[in-house]
Amino acid sequence: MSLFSPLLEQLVHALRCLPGVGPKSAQRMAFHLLARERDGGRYLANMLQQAMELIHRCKQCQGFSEKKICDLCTNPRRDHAILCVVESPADVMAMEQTGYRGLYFVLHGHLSPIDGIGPSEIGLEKLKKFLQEISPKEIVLATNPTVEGDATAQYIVQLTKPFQIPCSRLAHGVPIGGEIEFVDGNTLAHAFAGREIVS
Amino acid sequence: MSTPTLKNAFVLHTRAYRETSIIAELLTLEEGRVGVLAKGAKRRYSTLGAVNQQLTPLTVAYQGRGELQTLTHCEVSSPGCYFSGTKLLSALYLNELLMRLLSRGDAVADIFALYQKTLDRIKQQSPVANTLRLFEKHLLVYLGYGINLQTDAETEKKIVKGKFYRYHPGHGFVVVTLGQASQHTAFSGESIIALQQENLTEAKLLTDAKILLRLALAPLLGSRPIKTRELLQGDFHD
Ligand SMILES: [Zn+2]
Repeated sequence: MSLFSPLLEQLVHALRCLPGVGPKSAQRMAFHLLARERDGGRYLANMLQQAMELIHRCKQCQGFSEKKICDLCTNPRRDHAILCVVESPADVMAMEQTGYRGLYFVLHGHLSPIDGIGPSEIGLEKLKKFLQEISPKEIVLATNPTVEGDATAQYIVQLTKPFQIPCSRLAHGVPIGGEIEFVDGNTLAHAFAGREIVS
Repeated sequence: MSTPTLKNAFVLHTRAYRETSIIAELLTLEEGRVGVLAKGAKRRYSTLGAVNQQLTPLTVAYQGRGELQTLTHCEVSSPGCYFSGTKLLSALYLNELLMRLLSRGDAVADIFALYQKTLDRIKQQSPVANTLRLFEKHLLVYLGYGINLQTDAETEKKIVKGKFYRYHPGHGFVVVTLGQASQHTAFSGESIIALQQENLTEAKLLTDAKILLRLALAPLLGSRPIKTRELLQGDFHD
């Protein structure tokens, strides 16, 4: 038999859908909201309700937005001649920190044949359509430097060949502030292969 | 506490577990496919980060009982492996096949060497089709489902050039007349002998080997398609 009322039990269970939230933290959150944060809880519930109903994937870039075509895609101040392909919306935020101000395409994953994730599952048909619409001068492939990320990038290179748009890939390198001695061999091999003439 | 022994391994597949951990399926020399939990492997300063590097020879240690071992050490043992284009997808095809055909605890020592050798050949030789067919052929043998490429399954006569044979999965080749051969998928003696001698020098021999090996793999793979094959056939040609 449970110690909690059925509704409280359900609330704890519902909170566990959040990443990194186990039974203990879910319990703590539920008690916190009920004891000290009723208004915050109501606001959260309302926000969740609205967001789940209204936020969809942008028709062009697959980023999350409540508009059919998101603000990023329609912003005239952004450079429409360059398109950056990323695996997740979080990667968009990361790329913004570099000062990049072009357009994005969000895959929401990467090719992962073993898990049954192929080209259609990550929206590559949409990418093709998007390219036809904006015909950028460069595509930056900013997928993760993993085997699957590389496979995804390679696949996109093949897919976009007919468009004759140059594709670039983020360089692999030694982390800034790191020490070469402690960099793993493969990263160093990549960094070496991509070395630059400095004089 | 005894120090766990270091083992040679490749990562066949990974998936995220909780916020910062990874569950990886390893192909090891001594113990075949092993499932390991790499705790905190996604953290920036994790010493287990190399578990993300598929297709790369690793040195690992793990311990524990039951289905899932705990990874305690993971290091790239020979760096500089890099696959691109069709070669990358071909290498991933090996991983997908092994994930589908090997269960945890299936210890088949020869498969590790076969995998290693095949990765090297994919890297060094183009095109890769020939290499993939030989991998499939030997994998079937090591799993205990090798195709008898020597003799007719009914008459036990040697397979010869100039005759045609039908292949029945699990049974073997049966000679057919020329009339029957034109009606069904039949393999020429030449094609069968070429695969037996691993001498797939012509396009026709390669195509036949591909069809034959698919027939032989099909009952083991079941109805779920091999996704990498779609990628290899699709927009992904050299
Ligand atoms: Zn958009």
